[in-house]
Amino acid sequence: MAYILRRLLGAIPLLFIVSVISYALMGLAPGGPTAIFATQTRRMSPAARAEFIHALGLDKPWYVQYFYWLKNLVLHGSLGYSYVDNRPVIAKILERLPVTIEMLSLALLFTVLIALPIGIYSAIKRNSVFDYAATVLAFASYGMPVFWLGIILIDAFAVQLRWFPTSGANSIGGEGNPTDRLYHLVLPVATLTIVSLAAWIRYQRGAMLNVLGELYLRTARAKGLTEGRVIFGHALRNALLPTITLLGLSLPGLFSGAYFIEYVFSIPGMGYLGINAVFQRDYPTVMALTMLTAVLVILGNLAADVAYGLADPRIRYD
Amino acid sequence: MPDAATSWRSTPDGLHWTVDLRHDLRFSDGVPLTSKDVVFTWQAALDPATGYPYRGQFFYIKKVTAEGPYRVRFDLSSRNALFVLGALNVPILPEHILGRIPHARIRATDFGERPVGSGPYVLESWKHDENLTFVPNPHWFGGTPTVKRMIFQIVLNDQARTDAMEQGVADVDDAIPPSAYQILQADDKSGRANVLLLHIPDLYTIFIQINFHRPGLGDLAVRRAMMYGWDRKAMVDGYFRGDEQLATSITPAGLRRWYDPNVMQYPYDPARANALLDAAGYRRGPDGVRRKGGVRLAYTLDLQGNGGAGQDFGAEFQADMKAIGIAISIRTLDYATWVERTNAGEYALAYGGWGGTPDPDELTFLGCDQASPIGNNMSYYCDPRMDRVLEAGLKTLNYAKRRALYDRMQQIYAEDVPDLYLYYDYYRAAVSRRVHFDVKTALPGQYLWRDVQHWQLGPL
Repeated sequence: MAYILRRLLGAIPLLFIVSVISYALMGLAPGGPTAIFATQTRRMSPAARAEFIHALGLDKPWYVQYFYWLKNLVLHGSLGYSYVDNRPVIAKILERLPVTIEMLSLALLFTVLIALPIGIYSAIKRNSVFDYAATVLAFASYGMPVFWLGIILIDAFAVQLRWFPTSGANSIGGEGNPTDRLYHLVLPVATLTIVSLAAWIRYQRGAMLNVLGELYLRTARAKGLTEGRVIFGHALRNALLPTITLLGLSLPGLFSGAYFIEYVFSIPGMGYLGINAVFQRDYPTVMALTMLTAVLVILGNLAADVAYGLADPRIRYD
Repeated sequence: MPDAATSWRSTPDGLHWTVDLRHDLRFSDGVPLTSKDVVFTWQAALDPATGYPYRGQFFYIKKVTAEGPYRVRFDLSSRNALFVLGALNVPILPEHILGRIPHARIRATDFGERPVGSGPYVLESWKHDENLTFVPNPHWFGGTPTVKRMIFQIVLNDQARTDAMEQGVADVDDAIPPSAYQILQADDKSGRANVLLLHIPDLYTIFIQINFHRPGLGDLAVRRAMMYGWDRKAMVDGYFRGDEQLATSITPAGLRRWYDPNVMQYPYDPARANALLDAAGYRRGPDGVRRKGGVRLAYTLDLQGNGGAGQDFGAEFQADMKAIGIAISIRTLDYATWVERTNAGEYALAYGGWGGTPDPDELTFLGCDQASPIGNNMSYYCDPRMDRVLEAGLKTLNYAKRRALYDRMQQIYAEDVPDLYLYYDYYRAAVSRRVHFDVKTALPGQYLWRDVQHWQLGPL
């Protein structure tokens, strides 16, 4: 408990640094918030434009803006209001989060279910044809950019074969229907799963190989246990331990993957919101999403460490 | 407001307008709409504290007063031809809901989420970035619309929208890109989709904007040579398969009452372009690029990085310009950066567009004293002849006299070439044949929905 508390307290300066760097990068990027006056069509007068910039404090240097942002967050617990529609940023994120979480958890689930057996089997049958094939496939999928693979899958399975929808999280009129939602998530989840398989397969294979060289396995075999008992009873449990860490470490990659995937598949989730917010320079939304991602990554790492401790009695934190 | 008003008239000097309201207007919550709502709307709109983005357009409105419950009087500080189309189109806010809120706080209320209006439909639910549902407004003066529920589904992907039309899942596909339009056209012919395709001129002119401050670009001979040397017709016809209209000046053809095609024309003629540049003293250097003194005709064209027609056009423009000795390099910027650079004059050529208003006035875009950042004249173009025409146009209320002035504006624009104008944008939409409506009500700039209260749903 004390350990978790200490880790959480330690995260605060980390989050502070993340927020300063993000704000600076955003503030120094060329182009200002277009969302509030992009519609040249209505010919907003430049004087009105200047008034808006001033009212939002955007005519001040980025570190002054950052100070106001921080003050609002610390004193009022508010992440601010979006420049796009003047709604609280937190409300915008919360309504987008569910579909992203559904997609990422499914992708993670399938990745684990597919990668772990392949990794373990590759290790047992080291240097076999299966092992080589798995290695080649793993590196091929690792090398594929997620947006590119997404487009290829859309073209093949949605446009040509018409098995799955090209985009969106629901059919028209299919809101709230879980089957419809799953049907729409097949291709995005497949894309995310394929690109994250590699790391998991390699990691699991390595962990298993380490364990297979351990002396206690020789002891187990010497006791006359069947090879099945040796592998599944003794080796596997130990070989799965390092993989738990990967759960926490893979979170940042999954979240950045969500940005691309949601954009390619037009899924109105957190990543889509984030990409549009960046294009529109909707600073409050960008900041809130960056902080949310940072928090999730820190929590993910912490959870992995804690789970590691729970799973392996040899590890104690103090 | 012309829907809510029964008449509007001005004193002969155009400074005082009287507007009469219908007596049977009600907001969607049942409360009657009267002159006090109109007065409230304008008090809020003109107060800088409210932060109404378009307040600047109404600088000429001095005072708005109620004369009895159904009559409103507008006092203007100067005569302005945009009054009826501009000011009388501003939606009316309910005083009984927003009246007690300080103006500075109106934008922070959730009125935008749960609007109370006075039209035929009322917003029933809004799931952001997913859908909006509208149902008939029981208090609307015009009776009950036939269509009992309208769901506006936000489908970001063009292919998915086309699929929905093909499968008959959606009744209307509003504002589709040319590629989807061509697919649905083929579908309609082959019987795969049973849709009516709409293709009407929009109110936008697409062009390459020119920064007059860049050496060489302030020279009329160079700008005209660029127009002659650019095969605009081949480009636009190729991309849009011939169903987009080449621009002849600044006023889009969609503004039917104002568009004048009788202006100086620039047919594709590279020989003439070369001759113009030779005569102006620009000689080809060893690299094939023309120069005169210290001026080398080499420029960067800024595109907006959102794909679209600009990406294709940029490369063709580059090749055409090379043939007449002008070097173009292409740079793609994300939209926010593009806007910032063009507004600040940090560009040479920029692919973009202009328009969207139902009036031909272009003072803030072409006026000498409207150079960015004061106005929207991002080219730094200035011609006193143009200024005189634009200022007179705003003060003239008589249509025939105004029309003559804006014909002149279009002529001067074509002669001066403040932008390399390319084409007039078209609005494209698809409507299922089970929707029965009067196609004539789909007008440029108002799109499909203008007459939705009269739509009927029937068999295919």
